[in-house]
Amino acid sequence: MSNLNQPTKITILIVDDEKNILFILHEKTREFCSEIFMAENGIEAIAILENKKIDCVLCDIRMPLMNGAELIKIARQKGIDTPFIFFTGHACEELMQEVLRYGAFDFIEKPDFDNLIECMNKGIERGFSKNDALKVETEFFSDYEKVLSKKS
Amino acid sequence: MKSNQKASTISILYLGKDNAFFGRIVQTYQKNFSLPKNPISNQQQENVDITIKMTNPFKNKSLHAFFSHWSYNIFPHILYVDFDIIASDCCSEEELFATLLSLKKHFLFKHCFIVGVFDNEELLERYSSVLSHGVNFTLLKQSIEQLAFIDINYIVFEQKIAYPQMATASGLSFLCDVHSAVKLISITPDKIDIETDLAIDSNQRMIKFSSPFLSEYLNTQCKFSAVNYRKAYFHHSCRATMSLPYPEPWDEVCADSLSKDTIETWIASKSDDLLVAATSVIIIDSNPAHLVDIVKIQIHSNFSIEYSPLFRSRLDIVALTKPQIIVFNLDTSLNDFDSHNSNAKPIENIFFFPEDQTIISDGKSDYFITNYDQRMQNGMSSLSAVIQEAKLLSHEPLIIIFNAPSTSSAYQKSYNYNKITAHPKQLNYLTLKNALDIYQQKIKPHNQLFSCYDPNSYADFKFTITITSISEHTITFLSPFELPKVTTIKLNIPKTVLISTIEPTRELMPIPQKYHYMGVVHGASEEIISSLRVFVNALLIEEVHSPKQAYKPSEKITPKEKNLSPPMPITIVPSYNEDPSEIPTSMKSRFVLKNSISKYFKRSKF
Repeated sequence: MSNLNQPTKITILIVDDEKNILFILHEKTREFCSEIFMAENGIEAIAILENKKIDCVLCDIRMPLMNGAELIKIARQKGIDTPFIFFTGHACEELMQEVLRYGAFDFIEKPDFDNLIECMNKGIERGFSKNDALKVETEFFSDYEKVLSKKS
Repeated sequence: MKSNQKASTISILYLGKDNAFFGRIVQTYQKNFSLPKNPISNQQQENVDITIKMTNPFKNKSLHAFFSHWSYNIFPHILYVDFDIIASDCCSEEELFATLLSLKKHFLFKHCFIVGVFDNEELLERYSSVLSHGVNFTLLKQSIEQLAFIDINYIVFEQKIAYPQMATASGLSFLCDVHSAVKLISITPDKIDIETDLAIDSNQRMIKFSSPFLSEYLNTQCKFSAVNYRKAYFHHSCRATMSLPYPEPWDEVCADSLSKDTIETWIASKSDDLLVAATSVIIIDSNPAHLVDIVKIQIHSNFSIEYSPLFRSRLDIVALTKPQIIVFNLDTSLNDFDSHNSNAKPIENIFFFPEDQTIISDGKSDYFITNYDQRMQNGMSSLSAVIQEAKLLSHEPLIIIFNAPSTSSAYQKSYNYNKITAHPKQLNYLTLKNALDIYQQKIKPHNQLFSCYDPNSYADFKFTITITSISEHTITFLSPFELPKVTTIKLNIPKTVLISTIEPTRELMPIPQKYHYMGVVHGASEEIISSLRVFVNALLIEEVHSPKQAYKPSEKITPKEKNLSPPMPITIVPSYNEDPSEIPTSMKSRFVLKNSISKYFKRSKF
């Protein structure tokens, strides 16, 4: 899947404390990415974010040492505005609402990663178009029309 | 109101272009608020900072400048609005009325005293509906201007500077019909939604109500099917739903009722004038600069819009108004604070309701101290509360979040509510207007809304008061309703005058099941004041000639009042001596006057 608005070289960071999830996600995304970084905790992730140009972060929201909310908060404090897509599970509502403060791009429920690539592409596109007023408006009204067409 | 704002700062704004009148305002306030110099140091004992400005915000469409300047610095305590600006084509009638209505509903101006300034009686009569658009007081230029300034000072600052003493006929018990302005919001064949400043008790099931369009058919009493108080909106005002007096199926249409077909036909015939009010919108936004955009939407579109600076005090509004759309302008500056952090610092340019503030004094000045609480702000905590509240409503309103750091999808999933859409930029006019337009194209309308300047939307409540004392300046009376401070009522004594309730200058005797108020006359010409003076004198003469009929004076004089105003015995006191011809001396004139009294009043018994 490619997108004209995206760079040809896509670099992502996957953060999860479960090695098998890191492996699965690496396999799923490598076709679309030129470079994939992986971190098993938030501290490693911050180090990568500070030193590499990352287009999108795929991050588990519940992790030991540093959870997803703490990670995105530190990232934003350091001026890193990369789109974050969080993996969620049961009883994550509080953390999900906490990460909204810092600009979560989307949530994906583990282990259903079917929409991951589409979501990642949108996130990357958003990262590149966030200062384009016209695109911002178009995206807003696209979302708005979808919401209006949804049944209660 | 900004935190730490000095209580001694007085800010007055004149909205108009009459330099001479502005000069008189400046002169009045400089004179009345110049405090005496300390005789030893020859320095002013206390500095009262008076800001008086003149602006014509409508000229060159500079409403933005007006609102952003005044609301970000210090909003005016008194706003004089000169209606001459309509006549001189500086702004349209629609624009001014919509702006006034918006000011009435806006938190920054909630405590601002708005004075309508008119060149003459005719202009006041023409724009009499301003009283249901937020104007608290009216003033006729050149007439008794100085007295009006004194009254305004008393109402706003509770300072009795040069407060006048007038001949007063007291101990009265006269019934008098009065009118209070009502604004019709929307109409269907089944109900009329109204807004009023009268705190109508839900037990008050029947009330006389008249409006221009209904008077085509009848001057009727309407039933209130529900009364909702909206104290969070602006104090003491309420929104009520009235059912129309249709006869029961087995009854015939009579003088006190009308057929449903009549109203349906009327609505159909006025469909071009009425707006289709499908969309009730609540806008929660603490940025006062956006007010002008909301005013523009209100003028040019058909939405029932309400706005609130902060969500904290608005939970009841969401439940009461059941909005179709909630617009929330997120304050992301609050995101740096942890919700559990008690050391959170106050944020600049955030305004607070006076009830959220405590006044402390250091012996020299008073300061407003705000108990800072992040939950009061439009941060994520408030947004969560908004969404939780919306989810409770069965019709699931749409929530539009502006200045949102996260995406629509993220909010929807996080709150498990799929009617959220997020915009990353600050609230702006065009986006909001487009969004509302799209909404209305997709959703079928169900209500007919009166536009804010539609003459059909002006109505009156009619009720009866008992006048207990009267002078050419003030009236005390018993009301069946609780009236908020500075409620304007209209009555004929013997000509039509406007009365605004004020803090009594003397203690009024409590009467069971009644509310005892003092009102001050305003917007009256010299001619009306003169006729009122004659009328008062006639009452005084009548009391002297038939003292046994009089209701005994019941009002106690407070110690504060004693220093300023000696108690007025029932006696003949000519109120103004400049024009002796006004004072009745002959029996003939007395006879005529007594007749004139009985023409307007009926005596009642307590």
